[in-house]
Parts: sequence; C-alpha cells; structure tokens
Amino acid sequence: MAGGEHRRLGMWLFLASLTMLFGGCLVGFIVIRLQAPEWPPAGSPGLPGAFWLSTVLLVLISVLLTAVQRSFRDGSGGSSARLLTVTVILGIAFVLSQVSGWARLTAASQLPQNNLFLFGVYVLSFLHVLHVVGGLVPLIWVTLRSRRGRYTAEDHEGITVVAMYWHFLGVVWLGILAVLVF
Amino acid sequence: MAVDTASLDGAAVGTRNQESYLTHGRGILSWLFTLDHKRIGVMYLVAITASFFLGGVFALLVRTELLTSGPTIMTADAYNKMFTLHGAVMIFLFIIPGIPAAIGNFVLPLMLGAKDVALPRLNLTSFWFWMIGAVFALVSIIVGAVDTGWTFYTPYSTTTGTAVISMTLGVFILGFSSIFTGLNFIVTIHKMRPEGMTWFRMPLFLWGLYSTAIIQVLATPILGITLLLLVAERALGVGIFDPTLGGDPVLFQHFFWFYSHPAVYIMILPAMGVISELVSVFSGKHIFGYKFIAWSSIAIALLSFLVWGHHMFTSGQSGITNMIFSALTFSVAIPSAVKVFNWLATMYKGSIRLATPMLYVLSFLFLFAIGGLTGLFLGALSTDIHLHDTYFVVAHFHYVMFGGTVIAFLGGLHYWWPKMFGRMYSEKWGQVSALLIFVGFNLTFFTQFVMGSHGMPRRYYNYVEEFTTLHQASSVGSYVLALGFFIMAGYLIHSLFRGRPAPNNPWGSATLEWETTSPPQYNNFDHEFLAGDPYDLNSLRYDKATQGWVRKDPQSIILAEGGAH
Repeated sequence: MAGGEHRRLGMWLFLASLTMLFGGCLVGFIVIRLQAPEWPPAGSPGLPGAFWLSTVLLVLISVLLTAVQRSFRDGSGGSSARLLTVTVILGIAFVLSQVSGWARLTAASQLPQNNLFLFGVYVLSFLHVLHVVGGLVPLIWVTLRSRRGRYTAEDHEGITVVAMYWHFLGVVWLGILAVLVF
Repeated sequence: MAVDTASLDGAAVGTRNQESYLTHGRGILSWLFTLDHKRIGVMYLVAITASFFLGGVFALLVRTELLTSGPTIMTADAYNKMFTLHGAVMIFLFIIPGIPAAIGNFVLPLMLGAKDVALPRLNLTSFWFWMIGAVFALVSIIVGAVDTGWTFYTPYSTTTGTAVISMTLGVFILGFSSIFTGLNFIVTIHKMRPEGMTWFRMPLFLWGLYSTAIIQVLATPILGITLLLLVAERALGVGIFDPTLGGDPVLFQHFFWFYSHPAVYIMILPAMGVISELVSVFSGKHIFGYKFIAWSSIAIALLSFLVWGHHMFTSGQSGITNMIFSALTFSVAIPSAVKVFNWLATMYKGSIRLATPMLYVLSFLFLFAIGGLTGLFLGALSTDIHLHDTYFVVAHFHYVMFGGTVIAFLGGLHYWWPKMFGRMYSEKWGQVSALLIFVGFNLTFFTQFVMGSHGMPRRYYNYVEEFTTLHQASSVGSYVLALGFFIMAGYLIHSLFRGRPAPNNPWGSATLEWETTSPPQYNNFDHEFLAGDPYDLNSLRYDKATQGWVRKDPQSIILAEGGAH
C-alpha cells in the first residue's frame, strides 16, 4: 500500500512536529519552575482528581486501539467497529473529565492568574485537550467507516495512523503530569 | 492558452498532445479546490506576489518617511506600525512560503517525474491555512496595526493596545501551513523518487527543499507554542514571560529565536537550491562538488538549531553562553562557504550564458557573499555589542534575505516561468530589470551598512543631521528598486499574452521537469522515468526548429510507456 506508507510517514513527521510543540512548552515550564524559589508556590492546590481519571481513560483508549489493530492482524477485524465505538465514547469522556477538573479548580477560586503553577495546569491541559478534540474527528471518521465495513486485514491504514496519534496523546499527557506533579 | 505549445514535443518522447494544466477545468472553483500541485503552486505564486507588493509598499512608505528627519509623510506611531507591517508581511507571508510553497510546489513533483505530491489533499489544506492565516494577519492590519516589530518581544507585546492577538493567531495558522508543506515534501521525496534517482542523483533544488522541510517540521511548532503562550498571557493577564509572578521575559526571546533563527534558513536553503540548478545550466557545465553541496544543505539545517542565542548577546545571558553561541555561529560559515566555492568552481571555464536567470545568480553570489561576511561582524561578540540594533543589522539581514533569497526567487521565477506558463518573456527587459534591481538594492542597503557602523540605530523615526545624505541615498535606492520591479511586472504580464510560445526545454537543463510540455500537461507525464544524472548536460542538443533543447537519446530516461493516470 503505497498510499498507506505515505500516510504513515506523514504521521510520524507530524508527531515529530507536535513533539517539538509540547516539548518546547514543557521545557518553558521546567525553566520557570527551576527559577522559582518555591514550587509549587504557596497556596497551590494539588491536581484535580478528574485528571487522574483522564489518565486512566487515555491508557484505555491506547489499549483498545491496539486491540483493534490486533484484531485485523489476526485476520478477522470483526470486533473493530465495536471497539472503536467504545474508544470514541472514552475520548469524549476524557474531554468531559478535563472540563470537570477545570470547573473544580475554578469553583475553588484557583484561577490561572493566581500563580504560574496554576497557569501551567490550565494552559498545558488546555493545549492537550485541543489536540484530543482534534483527534476525535478522525477517530469518529474511522469508526464510521469501520461500521460500514470499509477496512480489511490488508487495508486498515486509516486506523493505524489514527492509533499512532492517540498513543502519542497518551505519552504527552504523561509528560504533562510529570512536569506538573514532580 | 498555450495548448499550441504542446505540439513542440521534440524533447518529450511519449508525451502526447494533452490538455495543459492551465486549461484542464475552468472557472475559479476548479482552481480553489484543485488537488493539482501545479495549480496550487500558481495560486501560491499569485498570493505571495501580492504579499510582496504589499510589503514593498510598506517599505517604500518607510523609506519615504526617512527622507527627512522628523515628520515627512506620517506620524511616529504610524511609522512604528509601518515597519512592523513591512517586516511581518514580508517574512511570514512572502519570504518563508516564497520559494518552497510557490516554486517548490510546482517544480518538486515534476523534478521527480511524478504526477503529484504524496499527499495532495494536505497540500490544498496547507494552501487554505495560508489564506486563512493571511486574512487574520491582514485583518489585524486593518483593525489596529501591530507596532511591536515582527519579533513580538515581551513585555511590550503583552501590554501594547494594538491587535497583537489576531496578528499572532494569523502567524500561528501560517505556521501550520508551513509545517504541512514541509511534511508533504519530505514524504514525497522519500517515497516518490523515480527509478534510478538515488539520494545522490536528486537535483540539488530538492536537497534544498528537503533540508528546508526538516526545519519547517521541527522548528515551526516552537513558534506556534511561543505565540500561543503570548496570546494566553495577553488574554489571562499573566504568564511565563511575566516577571511579576516569577516569569521570565528573556525566555520569550529564547523561544522566539529558537524558531526564528532556523527560519532564516527556511528562507535561504531553497534559494541555495535554486542557485545550484541555475549555475550549472547557465554555465553549460556539470555541477561541481555535488555531494558537498547536498551535505552542506543538511549541515546548515542541523546547525541552524544551535545558534539562536546570537540574537541575544545583549539580553543579559551569561558570558560563557555568549561565547558558545558565537563559536557555533561561525561554524555556519563553513557549509555556506562550501556552497559558494562549489558554485564558483562550476562557473570556472564554463560557457556562461548571461541570460536573465544567470544575472540573478551572479547578483546572488555577490550580494550573498557580502551578506554572509557581514554576518561575521555580528557573530563576533565585541563588534556585535557596537553594531547591535543599528542599521548594520538591517543591512546584513537584507543582503542575506533580499540579496540572497529574493534574488534567487527571481532567478528561479525567470528560469521556470516558461515551464509554468508556456511563454517566453522579453530577455532584453529582463536584463534591464535585473540590472536596476541590483543597482537599486545596493544603493538602498549598502548605505545602511555605513550608517549602522557610524551608530545609526534601527527602527528610529528621527536621526541626526549627519545621516541625512545616506538616508536619502537609501530612499532613492528603494525607488530604483521599485522601478525594476514594475518593469518586471510589466514584461512578465505581457509575456502571458504576447510572449513567444516556450519550447519544452528552453535553457538546456537535464532535470526531469523539462521533459514535459510547456506548460505541463494535466497529468505531468505519460510515462515513468529511469532517472540519470540530473546535471549531465551533454545528453542534450540544441534543436533549431523548436529553439529549445532535446535529448540526444530520448529513450534513455524512459522506464515504461503508459504510466498510471
């Protein structure tokens, strides 16, 4: 599949580009916290509990997408449409969990203006959620196509590149958590 | 237009008389939603030329204001906005996308003997991102012109009352366009080279585009995140560049230059690629030192990520940091000089034809050498402290970016124009215009070297009396430059309607884009290629009947008849 190879290489390059985007942002925050006399600044809350739920959701999504690809590799691909539908639901749940995390913080008057730790919490998670929303569109697209039986064991490149993107989102989220928590 | 030229198929054996890409599909929508790389390239060309015109008008207004010290035609505030707009439009709308998006899109698949780029839909998406980004940028010009300079330095950019948010969002979207184009070019070059075209048999223009694309993909996101953090800081009133809560405004400079220094190589590397093609063809000689030129492109791309700190010698960063960045900066001179010496060696004992594209090559060599060598003054710590933020920097920048990139762009435009539109332009007027641009350019910017070394600061609205003559000479130079461009616009537009139909290969080039008709047929080629040496000019002979060049053995580069449609 020449077209599939093109798309896979294209996705690798796109992920390299996004690595620079998130990597740059995280380095910026690391620099700021290294310069700070106290971190997190006094009066900062811990991360909202919803963010831990978010983490579980992203891991589940990666597991399910791997299962989808495996189902094709084993020949049938029969369960792929159902598994993909679940990942879409989990993806939407991720966005909602992030929103509820922000709502929790805002309700407790923990606003991005308070200090740079909170600024980081909001900005990094917002930047990430933007990419999740961006990832939901192709995920829904391949799910719909899968329900119509458009993918076969030989040709399911669309699912492969979407899965690459979602695995990447999971890794980035772990990186963000690491910078915020430790 | 120009289908008649398709009959001149002496060079393109196996190329049937097919409809050209210009006439395949009519109406504005057939252009706006085309997936054809050639049409996308032409749309970019139109769009970036319009941007160049706009940026040029801003430049002329700036130079006119500087005819006298104090108010000449505008207020000081208007002047600040004017030079910001000149810089932002020229950099983000013209010079970054210029060669890769316009000429690259048109030429790259043709040079590979391919039907299109690897990801045509992404290519169109990239064009539309460019248009949307450009609209954002232009709207912010109309709503409230930005006055930060094109560098958007904090804390001024987070506090000024002008439309910084929409301008930076525009630049952010333009960044996506640039990333998509780069990504597409890398995939295309990796996956779509024809049989026989190994990495070291690629035309050097493709090496230029490839190394540019690496920078586009890896550096542009840093600009994206920088501008997003800037927008967040403006919107929320706090951020990591804000020192009141422990942020660091110098961090903005690090971020900004981590992109924007590599970005100057996004601008110059494709230009160097163009020069490599032209210098061989118009010297009638095989390129000298092919591998050195190819590797030096990659070396420049990699080194470009390591020198950003030389923009910040006076920012308060530590002395040891300054020394490291200074030393690394000098290292860029090595691959750059490798290229220049190889171009000169290519010309040595060649039969040089002084056609318009070659005049631009000679201009490039002269101007880029001055631009490059004056970079050493700025890379050296002691002299930079004296020259920092003076007109010397402005002159250096323009010698590299205008004298380098724009001149190469013009050379490339004249070289590929017959292929793009199937018409020859007036050679005589082409030479007149090239000469005027060369003279006008030097008058405009050499004077600025003198002013800068005497201490005239950049971006100032007023100046002391002793600089009057030099400022006025510089302004007159800019008018000569403008005249050169108006003449160029005149004869190029004239050629579209009245120009002599172009043969398939008017210059005697051995790269594959000259194997199709002029203008190219819709599907580029009817057969696949067995690519040989792209600089084997001896494989061609001049054909008087078509006034173009044809292959001595046309079958030698053909792989199979009837390639896929």
